[in-house]
Amino acid sequence: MGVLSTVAFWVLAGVAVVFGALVFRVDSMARATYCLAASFVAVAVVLVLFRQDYLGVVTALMMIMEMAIMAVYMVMFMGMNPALMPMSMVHGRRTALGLSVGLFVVLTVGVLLVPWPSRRGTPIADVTRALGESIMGPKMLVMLTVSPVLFATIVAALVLAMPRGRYDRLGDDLRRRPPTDPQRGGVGR
Amino acid sequence: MTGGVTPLSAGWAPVVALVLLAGAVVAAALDAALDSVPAGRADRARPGRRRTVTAAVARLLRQRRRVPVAADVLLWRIGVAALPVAALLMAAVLPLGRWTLVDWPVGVVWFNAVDVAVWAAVWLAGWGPNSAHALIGGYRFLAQALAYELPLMFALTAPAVAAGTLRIGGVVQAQQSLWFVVWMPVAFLAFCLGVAGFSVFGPLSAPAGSDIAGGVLAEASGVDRLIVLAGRYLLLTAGSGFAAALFLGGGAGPLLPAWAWMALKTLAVLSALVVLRRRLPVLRPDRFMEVGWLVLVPVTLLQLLVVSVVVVAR
Amino acid sequence: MGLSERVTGAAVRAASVLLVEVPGWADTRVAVERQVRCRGWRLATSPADADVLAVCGRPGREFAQAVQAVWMQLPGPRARVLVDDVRDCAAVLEQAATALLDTPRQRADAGSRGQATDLEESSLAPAPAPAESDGNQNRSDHVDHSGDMDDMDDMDDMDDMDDSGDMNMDMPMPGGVPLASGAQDDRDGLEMDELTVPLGPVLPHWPAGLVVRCVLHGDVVVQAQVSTLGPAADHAPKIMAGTTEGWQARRAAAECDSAARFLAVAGWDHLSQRLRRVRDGILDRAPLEDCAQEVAQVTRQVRRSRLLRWSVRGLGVLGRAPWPPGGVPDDVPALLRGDVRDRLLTRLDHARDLLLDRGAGEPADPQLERQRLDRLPELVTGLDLAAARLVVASLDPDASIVRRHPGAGS
Repeated sequence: MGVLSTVAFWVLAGVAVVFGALVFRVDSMARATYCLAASFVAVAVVLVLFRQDYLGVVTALMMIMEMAIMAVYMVMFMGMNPALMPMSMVHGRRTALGLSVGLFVVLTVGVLLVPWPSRRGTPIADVTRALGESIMGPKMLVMLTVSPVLFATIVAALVLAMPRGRYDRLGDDLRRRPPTDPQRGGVGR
Repeated sequence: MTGGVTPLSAGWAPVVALVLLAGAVVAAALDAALDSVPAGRADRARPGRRRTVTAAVARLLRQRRRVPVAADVLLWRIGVAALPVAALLMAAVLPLGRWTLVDWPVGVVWFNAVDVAVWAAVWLAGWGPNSAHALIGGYRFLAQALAYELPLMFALTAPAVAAGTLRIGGVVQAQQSLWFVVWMPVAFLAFCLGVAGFSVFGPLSAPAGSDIAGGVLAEASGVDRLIVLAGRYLLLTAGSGFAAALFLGGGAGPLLPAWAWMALKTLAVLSALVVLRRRLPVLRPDRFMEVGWLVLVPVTLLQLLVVSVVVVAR
Repeated sequence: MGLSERVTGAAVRAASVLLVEVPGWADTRVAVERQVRCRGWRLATSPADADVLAVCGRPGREFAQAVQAVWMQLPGPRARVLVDDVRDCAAVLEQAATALLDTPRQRADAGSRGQATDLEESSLAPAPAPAESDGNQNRSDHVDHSGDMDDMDDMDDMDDMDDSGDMNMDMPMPGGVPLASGAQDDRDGLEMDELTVPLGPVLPHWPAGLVVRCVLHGDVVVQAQVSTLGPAADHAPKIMAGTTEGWQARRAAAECDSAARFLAVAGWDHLSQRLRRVRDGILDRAPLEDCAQEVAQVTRQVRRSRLLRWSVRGLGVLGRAPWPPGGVPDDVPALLRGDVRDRLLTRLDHARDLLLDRGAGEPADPQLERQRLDRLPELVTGLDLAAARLVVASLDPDASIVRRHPGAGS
């Protein structure tokens, strides 16, 4: 790595840590959410710096999207204008602090103690393709299993969380058409 | 191998920004001109005075900025400023004829990541001013985004799969013989819908609808409003540019140089979007969501399947 | 000419006007709208978007307070004008343009707003009765504490102190604005907070003088209470409709106006503009057959638009749509039958019939207007804000008629 990349790395690492810490310092949900997003974006740029372009950009994409969806949950559980209300972003202060410090120490010790291999040879030109092949090639079975399981988990969680089930919508014999919804959807249901 | 496009040095970035801005001004001027076209026979008697883009900009420059009570000004400003920035970041990987600012191997994903960043921008612009109407606008955008984003992602995947690369230059080059729009029309339409979506434009402009007093625009005045409005047109222009590059063959075409073809195609898509806006009412977000998930997602997935089968069989 | 003068000139050429219509001054509002178009100005969607606040008619005390609250939210340079008479509107808008061009005066106005004291800013007491001239308000704003939560919110605080039962005063009130408070049964089974947002009286494409006090869960209306605001007591509008000749054409123009507003709320600006121009044609005494034909064309376009049908289908249904085929008649008048789209089409057909002198009905039907108003709350309850706006626009009660005949209907 050149000097410039080294400096960039440390700056980005600092940004990631500072914004991560700010999540617990700011007093508004929206700010906490987007501090977290900023922290992740800094990590994403670090990944790009490591020449893992695809992973970096996808990390940024997923994290910003995730934070936006968090905003949807915010209105679901918090109502309209909690931005006004200064609120603490910390719960269970002592346990959380203990756990996070412990975890940080474990990870840092890991980073420092693991004998990292030094680079042999040079990376190939198209890292993205290599990444795809190494994930999708030999590990295809894992991918094929993991995605349906993840998807089923999401659907199951939604079904469990929904206050109204199909019997509420379609009646006891599931024959009511159109179903009783507070407002009709767009495909004629 | 750079996929037929030459990367420019960073010094050209302002030029690219100006080109993008010119496109946005053309779109805004066309929009304003169409507004003053006489509508129907009864109107021909009294043509109103034309509103020019310059005058509208002058008005917003002269207007004072206003900050509503207990607003989260920092987040609001970030949201407002992020819109034009996002458009510029998109344009950075767009091949303008034979040149591009950054010829990035993951250009398609980059475009996608930036358009997702618009989610955050619009939502913050709605949240920041602490006004019920603006906030409803912000949430409307998220609801809509959840419906158009997955179809948009699949629509983006189709040309990438067909070209076998995520490099935009590569996608353009793969269309030398046949434009992608010909054999992936569904993806093209879903993409254009997505462009209207992240530009909060036309049928997907409910987040800035006049039924909620301008929604995310409700509290913005002066320069803030100018930046949001400009950001919308810039995003629309950048989106049209990508539609031209990903589906209409980019700079490919006879006689004219590549940059001229690129400009022409971009302007064609842009004008089509601006003209079409007049023909359609706004889609209500709650109805559009169901269509997005139950119609657009399966349809674009099928399109992707067709494309993949063709690619494998070829 | 210096650069700054050029900018100022250009800026004023593109001014945008926030219209406030006092019930009974629809003619004036229409005239101002046309004048605005002639000048190349445009109508504002919110106070933050406006340079000129044009009040059509003399508002009553409560209404005037609401207008005052809106005035404080205009960012400036700003001008406020009162248009009382149809014939004045060109002159009055010219006056507004002059006020906007007067940079020193605007600067003084801005300066005086900056100096407002905190004490006054955070008080939620009703504002003093406004003087109808521009530039002499000393209250409020750049960071406007009493004004800006939202144009609707502070109106709530100002004109209705006794209605604050649902504001929990023990909660923190950052910036003097009450927080949303917890609600019980949400439509979608979520734990939502309640927010009281009055819609009106100053909103784009909104019936004159109407206030719908909404309790919102997110953007879902869970409770709605309707009231109207009227003109100043000593200043009733001249009653035009029904007494003068050619009421059919005037009524048809009003129907076109109303339909245009519905289309604007539905986000179909183009068609809305077109209908507005038909309205202007009618008022300009263009050949009625031409106008009727134009209305018929618009009607066809509306009827054929699958997108509009898909978008608003099943909203605000009254009675059985559109005519019960030999069923038991209910008490819904023919003009209100069906969903919002049916009502829009009925309105357009009615306008065309009036133009072709096949005019059934009366110039102004107090019973009908009262029904429009009375049916509103139950129809909008449970809808999201967009749908509620569509329902209100489809009913479009005429507050001036309702207020003139307080005993009509139920």
